[in-house]
Amino acid sequence: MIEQWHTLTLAAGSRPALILDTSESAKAVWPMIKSLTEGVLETLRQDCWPRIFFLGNPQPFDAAAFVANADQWFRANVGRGSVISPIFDVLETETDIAVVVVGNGLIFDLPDWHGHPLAERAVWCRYGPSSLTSGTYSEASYSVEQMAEKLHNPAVRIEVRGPSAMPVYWDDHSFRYEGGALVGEKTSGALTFGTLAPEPDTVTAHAVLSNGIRRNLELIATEPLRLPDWRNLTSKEDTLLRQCLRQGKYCCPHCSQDHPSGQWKCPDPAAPAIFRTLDEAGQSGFCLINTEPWQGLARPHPCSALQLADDLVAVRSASGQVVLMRFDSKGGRWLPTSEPFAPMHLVVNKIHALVV
Amino acid sequence: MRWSFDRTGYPVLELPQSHAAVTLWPACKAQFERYFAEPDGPDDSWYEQVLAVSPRASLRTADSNGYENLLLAGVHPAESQKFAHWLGNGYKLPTVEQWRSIDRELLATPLTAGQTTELESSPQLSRSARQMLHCILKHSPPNWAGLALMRGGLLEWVSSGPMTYGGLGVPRPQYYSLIINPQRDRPVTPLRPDRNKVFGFRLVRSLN
Repeated sequence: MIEQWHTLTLAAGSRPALILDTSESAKAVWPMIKSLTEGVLETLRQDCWPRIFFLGNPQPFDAAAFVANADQWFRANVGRGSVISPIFDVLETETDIAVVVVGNGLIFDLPDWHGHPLAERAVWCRYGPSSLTSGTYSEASYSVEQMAEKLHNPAVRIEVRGPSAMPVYWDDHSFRYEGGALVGEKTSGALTFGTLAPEPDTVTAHAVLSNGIRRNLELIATEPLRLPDWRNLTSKEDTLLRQCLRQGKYCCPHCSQDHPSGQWKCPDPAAPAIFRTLDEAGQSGFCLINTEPWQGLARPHPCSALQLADDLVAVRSASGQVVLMRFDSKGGRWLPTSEPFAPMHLVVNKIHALVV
Repeated sequence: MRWSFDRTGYPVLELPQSHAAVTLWPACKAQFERYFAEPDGPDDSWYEQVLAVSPRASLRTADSNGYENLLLAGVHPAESQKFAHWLGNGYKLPTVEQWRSIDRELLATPLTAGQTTELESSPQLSRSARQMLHCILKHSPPNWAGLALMRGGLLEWVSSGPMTYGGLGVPRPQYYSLIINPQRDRPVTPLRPDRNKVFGFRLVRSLN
């Protein structure tokens, strides 16, 4: 297995594009297009406003100035031929943005863009009798709310996955291993993670946008994350944990009853914390204890995945259940096993993993 | 062969023997549409008339059978001159002698793989011009006249006298059946003033 570490950064995506038709065939419906655009801008938050284009003109216009300048911009652009290539040439590499085209009448050069993501994913909003796309794409007269919804296209989910790859550690506790992928709802900042896979460089990351578009995220190879330091257990914790290792239970200092390993809290609601160090260390993910030294040590593992062996990873669900995932070399993928995760699961030598 | 690019990102060949710079191809629809997209360009209804005579082919799917539909045909000389004026730099329709001189010079100039690679990789070449180049190269043109569609293109408007125009070129028989030797025969004049799918145009300017 090859261990690799990557960082991805979630940059704000490009603004959507709202393309307004002011050609001869659409100029009669300009009042409607203008009103619709104003409504969309009123509906959307300002940081989600689209760039405004006029069909045929590659120059983007600032939506913030639309209300004050709409008629002036219309006069400057009216009569342009119904061609979209000047704009799509500018946007060609922004294949994951939301594009809405509003107008009337055939866009003559659209066949040059058939099959391109910009054309295939664009929303065609027709206000008039003449088709924009000659029936190639679905067209409708959308309301202000519908248009705003189609233009607002935030990232709703991040997915990191790869054939045969298993995430083993990451630095954002809100992310979970789910359905074969590391997923989370992060929309800004960075994520660093480590993976195990039989082949290198098989992992990809995507931001899934609200309209279903998957934006590829660049992965930068990075150094492994530094795990938290070991800290001393208190003498009382150390004694009780060693008792657990020997007998599978411990005598509760509060109620003097035996509690099995794994039950790290006394059922009496009035009982104070027994394993305070474990509580602090294992609030999320796992807690590791090392009983090799004379004075036992604990180390938090603030991640819901923990590598136990070269081909074995423990994954903790939100409910605290732990599933062991083992690499199936025949199928080339990681599969859940029926192997139990012990209350004090041996990792190596005298280091055990606990779920607190 | 030396070349530069016009404001639409389409190649312009510099021909010292002909003392002219000439557009590599007859005006293409995707090229012309840059002018069409200007506020003072022709309007949609005018273009619809042109496309009714010469339907528009998609650059993404055009193949060797119908590349003529990538070219702007069905326009009159006066309309081509408006485009020439917008293109700037003194472009105009060639005279009969200019066209023939260019034709001879390009026929005599072999086309090498290195030249097409260099042209194709030029950052100034526009997206649509690059697609056009790919389409024409599928025919493996033997010389620059083939790549330039001086042979196998349209009848191109040439100026044969004051306000007098005719067409020179060698269209492919499957597009328009016509027997003509453009080096010897008189320019073809259309029988009717209607738009005609075989008439296009190529622009030239003097070589600086």
